[in-house]
Amino acid sequence: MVYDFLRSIKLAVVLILVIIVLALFGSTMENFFSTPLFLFPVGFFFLNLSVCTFHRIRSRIKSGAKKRFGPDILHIGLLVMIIGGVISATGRQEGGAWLSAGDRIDVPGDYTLILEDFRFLKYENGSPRDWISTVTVEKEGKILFEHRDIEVNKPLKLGNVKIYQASYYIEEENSINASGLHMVIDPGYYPILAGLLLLALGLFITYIQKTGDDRI
Amino acid sequence: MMPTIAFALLGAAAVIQIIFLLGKSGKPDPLSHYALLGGALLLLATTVQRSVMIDFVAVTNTFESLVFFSGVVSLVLFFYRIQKKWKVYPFVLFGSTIVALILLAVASSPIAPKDIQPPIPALQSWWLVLHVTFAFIGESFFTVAFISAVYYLAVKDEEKRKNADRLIYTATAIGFPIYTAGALIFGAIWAEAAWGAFWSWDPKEVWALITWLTYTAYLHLRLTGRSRGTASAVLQIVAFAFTIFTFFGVNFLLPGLHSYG
Repeated sequence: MVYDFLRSIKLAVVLILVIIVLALFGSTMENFFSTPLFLFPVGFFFLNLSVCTFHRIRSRIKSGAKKRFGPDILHIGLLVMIIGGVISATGRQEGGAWLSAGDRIDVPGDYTLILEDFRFLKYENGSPRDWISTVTVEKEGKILFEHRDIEVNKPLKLGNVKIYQASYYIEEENSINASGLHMVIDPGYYPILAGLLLLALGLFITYIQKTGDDRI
Repeated sequence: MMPTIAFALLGAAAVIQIIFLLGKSGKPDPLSHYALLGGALLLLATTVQRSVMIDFVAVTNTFESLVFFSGVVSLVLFFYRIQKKWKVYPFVLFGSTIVALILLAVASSPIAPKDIQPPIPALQSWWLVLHVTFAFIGESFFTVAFISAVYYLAVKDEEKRKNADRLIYTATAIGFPIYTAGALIFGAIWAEAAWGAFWSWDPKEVWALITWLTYTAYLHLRLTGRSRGTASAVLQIVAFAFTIFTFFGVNFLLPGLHSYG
């Protein structure tokens, strides 16, 4: 009985509508999405989706039918994403650093990052074209590599730390030319990425299987 | 120049369509889809032209987004008109053409500056290009679903409702995976590369999620058993309103990280 309730699509539709309303409300606020008011329905939805996915897969194994497994991959992708999100929310660490040329900073994992040079490239009209931090990295005191560029959209990965070009601080009169680097350790990175890929794969397979269906 | 001619072509398409609509033959006109195709090609050529000038795919600001979106809607309408699998009522073509026209009208307004600017560092990413293009392609199909939903609610004839319902469903079924890939998957991958997190709950992201959830609710409502035609159609209209708000309303009413386009 409880199982039938938890696996029902009607429950799913209701929960999705509840989450929509909550998100509408929360879109104007800071920090709403980590509060119990939001997390509880999402948790309930996770349970509903899990039971439904389990039921679908088990029914198919029992009946021996092979078709239409696209949605299952898609749904598993969503579940993995949500799990990844929880891992990220609980395990993520962030930090930042302002570095001028020559500055050294320790990075978790026995690395040392040294800024060789920071350049702010502009287009002809003066708008930003690129911010490039050129760095040397040492591991346990020995040089690992030199002259590596960190740019926006091209972060540097050192072990499980990812370093992003985030901002800059320049005061020409005082000869200050500093790069703002943002550092992240996120154990949820791979689970979330795996979830996204499963979601994409599931969508693709569902679509392919549907276009083969003459009933549509 | 090209967007202006495209606007004229879409306008001509709409005029031809409405003349035939008022004639009540029930059949789509034989001409307007060529005007739609011409408009689509000119708009997409505008994107190509600007891309060459900035040495990047030109989907980086509101103007470029609107031109691309309008062009894709027009192209999708051309294909709907010439295909034979689903019945597409003249009203659906007309309503969707009006949407494409409104998008272009907004593109010509002061809220969409036309200056040609190469992309700032955050936008220099192939994920960004995939994110924007796939999102708008998905939304073009949502446009057809939206107008079909309006048609569904406006007519009483069972046969027309059945065909309209089928059109809503198939258009959504095509648009949904494309929109999911663009708005959510490519968007998240781009966000992580640019700013270090797949998702930040900023207003634009939250509204994209709300939009996506509404289409998800629509797709699953169909699976709950009884025919829920009216509820489905209403949900489609709400979902499309959310789509438009995600595109425009958020930028102008809820400032945040996402102020590009």
